Amino acid sequence: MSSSRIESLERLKQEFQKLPGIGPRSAERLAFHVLRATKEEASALSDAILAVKRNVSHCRICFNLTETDPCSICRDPQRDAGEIWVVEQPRDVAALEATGLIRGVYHVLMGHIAALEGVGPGDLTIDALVQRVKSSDVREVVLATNPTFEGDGTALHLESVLADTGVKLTRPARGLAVGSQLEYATAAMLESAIRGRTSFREPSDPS
Amino acid sequence: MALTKDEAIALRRLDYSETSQVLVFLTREHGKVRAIAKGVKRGTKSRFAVGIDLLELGHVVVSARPGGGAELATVTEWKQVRSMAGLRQRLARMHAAEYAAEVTAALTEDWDPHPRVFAALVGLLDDLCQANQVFDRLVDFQRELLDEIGSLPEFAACLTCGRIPEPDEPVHFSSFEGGLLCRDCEPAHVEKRELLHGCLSILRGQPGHPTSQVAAFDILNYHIAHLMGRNPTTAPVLLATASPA
Ligand SMILES: [Zn+2]
Ligand SMILES: [Zn+2]
Repeated sequence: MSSSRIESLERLKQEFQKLPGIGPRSAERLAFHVLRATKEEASALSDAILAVKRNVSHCRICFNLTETDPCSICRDPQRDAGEIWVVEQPRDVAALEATGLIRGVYHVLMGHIAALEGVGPGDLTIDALVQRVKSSDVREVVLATNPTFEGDGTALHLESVLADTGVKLTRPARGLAVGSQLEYATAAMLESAIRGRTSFREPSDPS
Repeated sequence: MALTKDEAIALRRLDYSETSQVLVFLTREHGKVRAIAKGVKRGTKSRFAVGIDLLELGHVVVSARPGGGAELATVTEWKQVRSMAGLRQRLARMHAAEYAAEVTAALTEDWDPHPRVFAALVGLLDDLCQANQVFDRLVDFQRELLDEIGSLPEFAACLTCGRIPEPDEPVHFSSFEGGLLCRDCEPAHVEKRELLHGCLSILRGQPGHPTSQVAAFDILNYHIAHLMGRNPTTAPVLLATASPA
């Protein structure tokens, strides 16, 4: 081992290595990349990192990540505030927004209930959702949590706490993945697809 | 690296990175196996189909160093066999299944085979998929698990004096002693729980009233908590959701 360790380069490598998916080799490559970069490039990177921490927070209405509070979706008068899509993570909002099909607004739970990991309803933004449904004209809440054990459990819990509000509760359709083949589908996918089969020709666009 | 193929149920699942998860499986022939599933969350690897969910039954292939001990195995294949979808229709069923998963994971060792516990867990999950009351089946499961690991308490006679209690005699349970304490011996013990009326016959494996089933579950859970060194985190959630009105 070399005795002439360059402290600040080591520090940068260590910081890169804390990032997800970055091992020691990649951390070293990134650190040397920064070292070779111009001073302007390097400060653009460090400014961007600081700006994210300074400017991004959670929307007070939907808890999505935002630079303005409330977020641009909650402030958009074209969006239907009577239809709330409940998701686990901000990344799920991004995925649904990318379809361009959602006219409603969102509510980000910031996780899911996981009794085995000690995560209870109080650790999520469920109380805020209930308040939101009670205090505004919400017609429909779409429980768009992941179709996993924890996501389905969270949806069941939401159903129980929203039951007395009288709001219409729906769940996105599940079943066969588009582009997949029937013979390779799992038992769970087939089960959902069979139970949730729809009319071959929809009378009209469901939205 | 040796390949191990077996039937399995995922008892726990933790995110490890953006795309990988660590799973704790109970397998039929090889006991509890901890393994990492790389790339499972992307769903791009066809061998994982759409991911590995908690408490579904499947066929797993893991690669592990023989005698690897605490080292993580790697999941190389997973094929779901039964989704146990009925669990997801009621919170009480889900919480009962989570409780079974937690205590099974806590009371078994890695690579220590317990085919009887595996069969009991599959039977429990299948029954829970249809169940209205969950505690009678959970008590059966607690008894089987405790019996298999050699810790089923003695409910026939008093552990101290050997006397069989009278039918209406108030009796206590001691986890440390591992069984019943009769009216005469109970005052000499500090660690004990009173057995509610109707509870003892259920603990002996006989049918009983739903409220007594909750009491029997609670006694066996008290014993399990002693063995685990802590109360199972899923127990209060289950009791709050599933207790008969
Ligand atoms: Zn918002
Ligand atoms: Zn006695």
